[in-house]
Amino acid sequence: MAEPFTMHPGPSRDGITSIRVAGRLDSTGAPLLAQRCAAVAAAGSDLVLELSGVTFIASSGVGALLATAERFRESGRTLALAALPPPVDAVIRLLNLDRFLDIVDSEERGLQRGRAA
Amino acid sequence: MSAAGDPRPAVPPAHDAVADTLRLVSQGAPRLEPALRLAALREHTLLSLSELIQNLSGAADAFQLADLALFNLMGQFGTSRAALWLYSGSDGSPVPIRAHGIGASMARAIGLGGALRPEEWTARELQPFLVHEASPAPESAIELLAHGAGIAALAPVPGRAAVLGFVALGRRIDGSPYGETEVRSLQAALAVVGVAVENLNLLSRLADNNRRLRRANDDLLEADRLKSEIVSNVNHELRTPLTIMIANLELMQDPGITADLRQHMARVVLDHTFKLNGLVQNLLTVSDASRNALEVSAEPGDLRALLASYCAERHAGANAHLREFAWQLGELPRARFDAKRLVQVLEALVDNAMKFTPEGARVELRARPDPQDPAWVFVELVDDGPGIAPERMARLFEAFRQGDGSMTREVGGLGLGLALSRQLVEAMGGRIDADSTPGKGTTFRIALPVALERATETGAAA
Repeated sequence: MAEPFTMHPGPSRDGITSIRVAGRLDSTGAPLLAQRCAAVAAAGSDLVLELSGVTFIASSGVGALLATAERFRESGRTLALAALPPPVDAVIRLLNLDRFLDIVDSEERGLQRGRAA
Repeated sequence: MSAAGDPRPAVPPAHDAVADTLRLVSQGAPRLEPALRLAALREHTLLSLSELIQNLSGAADAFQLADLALFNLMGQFGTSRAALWLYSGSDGSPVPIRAHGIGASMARAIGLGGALRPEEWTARELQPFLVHEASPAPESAIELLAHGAGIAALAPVPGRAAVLGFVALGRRIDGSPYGETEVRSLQAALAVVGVAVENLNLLSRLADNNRRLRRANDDLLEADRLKSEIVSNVNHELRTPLTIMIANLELMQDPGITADLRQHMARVVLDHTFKLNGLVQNLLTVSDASRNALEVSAEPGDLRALLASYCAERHAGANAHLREFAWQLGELPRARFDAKRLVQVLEALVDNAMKFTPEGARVELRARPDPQDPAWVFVELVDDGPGIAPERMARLFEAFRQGDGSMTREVGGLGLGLALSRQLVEAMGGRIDADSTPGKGTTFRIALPVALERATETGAAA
């Protein structure tokens, strides 16, 4: 079953927004994700992307995550990727992107870290 | 994960395969790791290309295409910066379409200051421009800009006949360079992007052509409708005076009618002969104009003298349909015009005012130099008729149209006067336009070019 790409708002806490992403993160979902995240950055909020529901990630999905991370870095906000499922984890490790992306175990950890920062 | 229920063609489960490979790496013998990692990277590259090939043709415009291509390349090479420029169709300058991780002003600067024109790529035989981070002293402008923007590679987007644009990619996050393998992958990916850009251009041209053809078709249908209408109108317009003339001539043969009545009838016949003659002249002029055979000269002449003489004659000929004919002639420079044709235009405009003001029009002719531009002189005909509806103004000077289709039969005429006027005035090197307020009247303004030398004498006064 090829789950469609979805984004749902997760909990928000102390200026940190969480978005729960699920399904296929490919050329259909990548621009939508980048656009939604850009709106969060523009609103001046930190962001946690909860990715446990992502079943597949294509290169465009990886590109959208990198573009989003760069955007948050430039605007002085933080972006955390939480609960990476195996397909996402594999490609991030393959490309050695973990040195650039802020990866946390869970959405809760991401929200707490933001508060600590 | 399977593609069941997804209408799209099945995409290989890309990074599941990568995950499997990595799982093997972590569980297997450490000495196999480099080979397996390399295999996984190759697989990642192939799957990236496959994604590009499958999805790029679905882009609806250049921005969507740029997003898909750039995200794909960023994910393929592991960089957080990328941008796409396409060469403008008009002047060939690079236009930034999308930039991620590269500021808009930097993208513009690279496009304009980098001198990355299509010929530059041709001279480089389409080889990418690799910017070495370690370069101690960047020499070229593009190298300097690329350093500043964190760009490591610039590569052309090839088209069938010309370079279509170029892409910039940032430094790779894992620190590795764009080696020979990466450059080959990048070139393959950009060849796919090139095909998609050309497809978009073709589609856009096709849509433009379709729009143009639809418009042309609508115009032809309208012209066909007008032609049918004109045949019927010509029939009516020629027949009416002929019927009147025949009736009068028949009555004139009766020996019992008085000399006064006979004279009146002769006058009626003569009037309608002139009317018919005018109608035929107009048709011939329009026909000449449509064959570009209109004979119009534009010699320097005394415009004021011509207008004064015309106004005096027109004033004397005022009738029930022309309540009043007035004029104001200021000091006028000599102008370029064709006297006979200009009178024809003025007559058409006065005739028009009379036709649409059954209760009798007041027409005033005003002539003055253009207050804004001494190279022109204005001749205006101002009437107090019913005016022209705003929606009719745009096609006012087209042949076989009158202010209101419903008036055609009511007021008669073929709707040729204004079309003719425009053709004649333009053939003299002038312009004609109209300004109208419904219910208050219409002003037709003829602008004629001033002759280079000025008159030393003034024409006859009105």
